[in-house]
Amino acid sequence: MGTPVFGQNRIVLQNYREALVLELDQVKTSPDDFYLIIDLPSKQIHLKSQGNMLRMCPILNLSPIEERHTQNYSFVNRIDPISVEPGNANLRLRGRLFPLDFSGRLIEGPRHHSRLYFTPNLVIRADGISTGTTPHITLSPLDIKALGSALRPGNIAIFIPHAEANH
Amino acid sequence: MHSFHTILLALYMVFSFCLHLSARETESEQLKTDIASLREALKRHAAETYIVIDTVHNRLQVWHNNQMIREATCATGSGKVLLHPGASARWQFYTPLGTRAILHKVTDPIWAKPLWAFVENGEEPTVLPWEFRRLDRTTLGAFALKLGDGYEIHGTLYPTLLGRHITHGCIRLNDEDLAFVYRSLQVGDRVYIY
Repeated sequence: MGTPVFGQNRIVLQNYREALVLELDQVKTSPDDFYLIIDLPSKQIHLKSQGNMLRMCPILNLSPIEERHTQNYSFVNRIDPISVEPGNANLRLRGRLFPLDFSGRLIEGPRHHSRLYFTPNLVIRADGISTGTTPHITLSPLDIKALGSALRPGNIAIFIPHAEANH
Repeated sequence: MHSFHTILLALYMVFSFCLHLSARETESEQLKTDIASLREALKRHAAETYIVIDTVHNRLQVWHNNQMIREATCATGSGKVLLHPGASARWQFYTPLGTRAILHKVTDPIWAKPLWAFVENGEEPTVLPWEFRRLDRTTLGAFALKLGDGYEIHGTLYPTLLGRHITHGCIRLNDEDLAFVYRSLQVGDRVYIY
């Protein structure tokens, strides 16, 4: 992100204030849960619990994300290289390992890194894994593995957009 | 006359712009004040000193006032399963994830071997919990920090195996790091394991 132009600084401050309100609410309502702060202006994702910093993950890359306001995302699930296709009992692919990359291959893909799925639509993934048109954030494989170990379905991620996304 | 009106209009515009800027400035100052008070409120929930254990990469960090003051290589649970032959007992050796607290700090801890330690070595288990061959004075090192449910942060006889998933669920550290952790943390301090 470049130097904030006129008015952007105020928007950044507004976004941070809203994020802090959401974080405080999270700390009060679910004190033992781990949660993420997806901080696009500073290009970092923070893993936190009870307001304590547990891990700082630099964002390596990201696709355009339409989201304009600071809001909570909810962690849905993760797909690991060892995950098995869930919904194809009795079919030919039953029990196959979940393919992580469809680009260039039909079924099999590189089985190296996990993917973390959030709702509204957002995927945190490593480089080299195709997610189609779904908005995604790229982290290092080490960070993804650590975040995947920390998060449980339902944990929240507080999303702070870029200032320019508000206008 | 025409130029007089133009000057008046220009002055009005400059005045309005200054007012607008001033309002923006006031709003920004208010936002900064709000952020500072929210951060202060958040700080009241946060811990001063705490431990973070990354079981994926076997790293232990000590944080103080939101600064990491020590990072060490540790060993964590192997995830292996042990079955008791002839009985229904089954153990899985993983390090529990989530938030815990330090319940006790022990110097020169004595390990009272649980049943699985005998089963794992193919030895006959002791009948009485205080039987002498059940007690081990060397394995846990100089200090132990108890996290509940039998899980501890303690020392190791095998420092070359640190960095691996090899324990029965406890977190092992080398002597120097263990001494630092023991000195730096108090009973009640939080331990975050992921």
